[in-house]
Amino acid sequence: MVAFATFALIVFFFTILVLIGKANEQSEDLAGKGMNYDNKSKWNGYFMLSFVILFFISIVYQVRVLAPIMIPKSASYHGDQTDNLFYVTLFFMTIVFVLTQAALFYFAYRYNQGINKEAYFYSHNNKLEVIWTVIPAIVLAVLVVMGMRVWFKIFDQDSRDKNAMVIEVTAKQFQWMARYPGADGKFGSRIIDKEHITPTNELGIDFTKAESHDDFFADKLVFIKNKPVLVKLGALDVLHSFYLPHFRVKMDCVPGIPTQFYFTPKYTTEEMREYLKTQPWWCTINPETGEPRWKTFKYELACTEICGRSHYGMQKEVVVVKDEAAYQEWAKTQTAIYKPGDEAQAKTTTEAPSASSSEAFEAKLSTGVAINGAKDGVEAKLIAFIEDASKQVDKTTWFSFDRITFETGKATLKESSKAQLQNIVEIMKAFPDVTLKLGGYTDNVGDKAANLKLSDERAKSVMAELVKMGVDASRLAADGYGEQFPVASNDNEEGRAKNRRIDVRVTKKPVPSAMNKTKNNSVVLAEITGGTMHKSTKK
Amino acid sequence: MSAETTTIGQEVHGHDVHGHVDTSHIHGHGDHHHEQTWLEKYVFSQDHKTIAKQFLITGMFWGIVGGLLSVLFRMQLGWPNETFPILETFLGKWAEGGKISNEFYLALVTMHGTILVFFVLTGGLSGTFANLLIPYQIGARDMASGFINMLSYWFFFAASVVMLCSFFIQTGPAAGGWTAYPPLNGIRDISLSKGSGLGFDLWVLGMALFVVSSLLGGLNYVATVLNLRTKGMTMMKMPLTIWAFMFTAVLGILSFPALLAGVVLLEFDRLLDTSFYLNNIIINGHLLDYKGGSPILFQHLFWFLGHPEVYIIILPAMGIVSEVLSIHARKPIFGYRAMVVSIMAIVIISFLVWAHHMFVTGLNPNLAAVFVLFTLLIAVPSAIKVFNWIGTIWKGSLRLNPPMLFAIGFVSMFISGGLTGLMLGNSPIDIQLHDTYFVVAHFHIVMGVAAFFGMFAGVYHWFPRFYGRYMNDTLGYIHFYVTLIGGYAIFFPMHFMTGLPRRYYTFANFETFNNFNFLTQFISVAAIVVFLVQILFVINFFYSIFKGRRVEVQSTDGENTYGNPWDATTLEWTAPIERIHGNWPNEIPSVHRWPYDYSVNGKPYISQNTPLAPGEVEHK
Repeated sequence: MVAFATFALIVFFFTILVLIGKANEQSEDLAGKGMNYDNKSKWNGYFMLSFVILFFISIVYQVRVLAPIMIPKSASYHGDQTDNLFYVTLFFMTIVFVLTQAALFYFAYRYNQGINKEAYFYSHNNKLEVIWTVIPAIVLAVLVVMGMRVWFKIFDQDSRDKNAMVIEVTAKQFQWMARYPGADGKFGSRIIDKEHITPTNELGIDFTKAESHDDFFADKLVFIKNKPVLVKLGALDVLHSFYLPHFRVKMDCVPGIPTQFYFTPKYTTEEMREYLKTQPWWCTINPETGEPRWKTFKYELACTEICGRSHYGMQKEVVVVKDEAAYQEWAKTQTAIYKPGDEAQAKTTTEAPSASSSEAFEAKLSTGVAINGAKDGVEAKLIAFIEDASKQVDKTTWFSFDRITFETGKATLKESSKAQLQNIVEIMKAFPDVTLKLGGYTDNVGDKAANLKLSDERAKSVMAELVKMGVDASRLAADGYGEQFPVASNDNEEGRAKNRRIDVRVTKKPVPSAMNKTKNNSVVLAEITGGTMHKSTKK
Repeated sequence: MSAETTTIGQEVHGHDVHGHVDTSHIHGHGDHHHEQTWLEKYVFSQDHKTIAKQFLITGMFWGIVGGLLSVLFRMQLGWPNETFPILETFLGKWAEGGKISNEFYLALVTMHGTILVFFVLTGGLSGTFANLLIPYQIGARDMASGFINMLSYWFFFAASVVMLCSFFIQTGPAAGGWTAYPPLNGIRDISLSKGSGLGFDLWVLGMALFVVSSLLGGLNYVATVLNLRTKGMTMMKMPLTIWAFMFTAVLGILSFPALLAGVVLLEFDRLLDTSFYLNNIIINGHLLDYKGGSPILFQHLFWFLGHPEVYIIILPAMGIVSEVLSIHARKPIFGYRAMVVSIMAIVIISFLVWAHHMFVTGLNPNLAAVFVLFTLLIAVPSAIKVFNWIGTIWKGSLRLNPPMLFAIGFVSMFISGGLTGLMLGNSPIDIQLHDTYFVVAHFHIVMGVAAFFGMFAGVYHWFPRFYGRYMNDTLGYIHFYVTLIGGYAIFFPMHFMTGLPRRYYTFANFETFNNFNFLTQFISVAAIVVFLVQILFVINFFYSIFKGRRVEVQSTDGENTYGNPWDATTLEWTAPIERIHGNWPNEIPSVHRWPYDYSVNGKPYISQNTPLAPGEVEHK
């Protein structure tokens, strides 16, 4: 309704204007003035002159009102120089702007045909042309030289401080991943391939390298006053742009091409607030917080390259602290990216071949299915245990899976685990009376309760997978034991890796008599052919 | 009313007769009378004047559409917390609850840019005036190839249809910016952005058709200017409009193919899984198979067109303004040769500045230095032109009618917008200003509003040439002042938003950027007012076609009437007021003098086809 009324009003208004226009035209024609512009030119001369005067006044007004709410002074050293260049250019621009606009509109007024009847034939003046070619050229040359001095200072790699703080910022739709190298000052390297890049490790960090273990994703960007920062930039999906408005920093984040920006923060967040206290606008009350604006001032990181629907939401807080100590204090509160077990996934990819290059084992089950594994793998041990009538079922005989891996920090099985689980399924088909229990374990890094939960989830996820592959759920059980029952020392990484595992225990097996029967007619256990089979080859 | 009808009838009649006379004369068809069907005359016409009208009216349609899109996103920016139920009525799922969705917001800014840059200010501006004026002002019966000229329009039309269709598909039109950067636009995955689906394919198809149109048109313009000038019309006797149109066409011919190649390769990436622009893309933790391409390569190809493109837009406006200023100041253009040379300089340098759009892409800093140099260098010829325009109106006798006011407004806008280019072109300053509202202010003033002013100056000035009538002055004045004041009201304050990023749906997520709430509202109001007054211009245009004041008949040869509404020297006014096929009923006038003999030898003006008086020295 409102829309319709507005529309009707506009149509009405337009009709009136058209009628006025037509009436004016007719009255001119009646007065015999037709296309005579003397009078109209006079009026428009006054209008043009008033326009330029009002225009200049409005610019002064805009400067007074808007300049205070612009982004405050630069908070980086190079920013002072670029700002300075901005103002130098502005100085020249203002001169040209005022002179040319004033001349343009003044001439429009002064020489309109209502006032000036005779035009003066004046077609060219080469001297003038040379003057207004050479003077702008000189000014522009000065600006280019000044600009390039600043530019090369900003991007001069040789003069950079080798001890600069290095931060790696990777952008994706629609967030910033800011990785700090942690206490060791070194980033874990990244491997861009399909094995390393997973939904839980989008950067492809190689967790088998110890440097990666203390790397952390920061909740906000923290810089130290007067300590140079080298931000290494990248993007995963589309273009983004790393923009720190207060620091006069901007650089695109390009998928597949690394970029970087080097700068030195000049004022801490606190110092900037102190400065803003002296600025009248910043002392006014912010209606949203009810406090003076300077109190809630913060530096921010934004995206300036169109990157999709939530482009406008890529905000991250930036803080400049006063010294190393303050920085360390904050760094302590950040949690490492690395979760115990993370390197296991990498291990399988990088080290799996070596694990299976130990002596291979191949067995032909009574069902006619042949299974492959390592001689000391879980399949061989399990079959041996089941077949050996002298071995009693108890609660302490556990065998560790050697080819099961999970997504980092999650209970999701990796695709590569399926092969071993398939072997277990075949074994259970061959020994229909056998029931199994699965146990999940972790190392002692991190929160106990979380570890327990994760181990439980992982054990249950293995069980679920087996059920999915055709094992009756009643023949399986699963439990998580967290950090308990380590099989190796938790003091070194190798030991910890061993402790992060899934074990399996036989909870029921056929009584020996039945076992014999089984042995005779259903189990033709192949001789363990270990050693005769060629070493498993790398795939 | 009856008088009107008769006039139109007579026009058509006159047209027919002379069409016949002309064909027999020019095309050597002998006595064979070729009766043009209605379709040939008004739809698939090969006549440059009709094609010019087709370009103009299509351009006006797109202008309204493009402007309307900006009104929609300005509503979101001005009142981010309000809802407008009417929007849901018309836009449905794109504005659920009466609020434009963030996805659609980006589609709006993308299509606003595409439409205004290509379909209005390239197709509409260059297509209209190059077509109308080149044959008329150089003294030719028509374009070198009327058929190719017709094709040029119909490719433009097809491009328009495809672009328009993209608004009506399920995933909506392209939404990755008018610059179409990959990977956002390089992967056919609507989870990245809805506009990256079919909408972007249509965008590419539309642009490809547009480029074909532009090339066909451009080749024709250059061929016509070089080959079909009338007797005596040496290059240095051509009006500046013709110089501008010719060089615009040259720019287009040399740069549009780069864009075409760029977007075709982009489609290869999207449809055939090639990797021209893609490398190591990771989406939701999955590494895609693209390897070895570079997103930056696309930017080079795009801006190799993209920067000359802004001159493709502004040069015709400059040409029009030079002409209009001189005619209505009753003075020769100041420094004709300097104007011609500066156009040439702009054309050459405009090919050497493209990477100034890419200072913060991680470009080699040494390379950036070269582009800074050329970018600031291009300000020199631009400055020369400004000084010459001001020199032209100095001591003139200015007829301040709507075309003249728009021409002066053009110079004002060009100064305001051009000067900020000195900041953006200097790479260290660009670090802060890149992709902020400062840039939005800069290019909207210098190539948006200014080019529109040039176009309006042209439409008001040559409307009598198009239709034998004038546009209404009063409405023209209203149009001018509201647009001038409104244009500055929209874009001048944006210069103070030196930190605000472009293409943000709302600034509420940032403390740094949400200080300007009042200002964004003010700008939105100004934008809506300016948009409405453009509707007034369109009304004036169509109203005046039928009811406008008629051009005074100054002479007649019995069949045709002649008039020179602005007392101009150029050849288009030596042709009959009725637009006849072949332009001149008899012989084409030959040229004896330069086009700027105003207020000379005691005469208000001397037409180009007037022979030199005894003892008169030709102007060099």
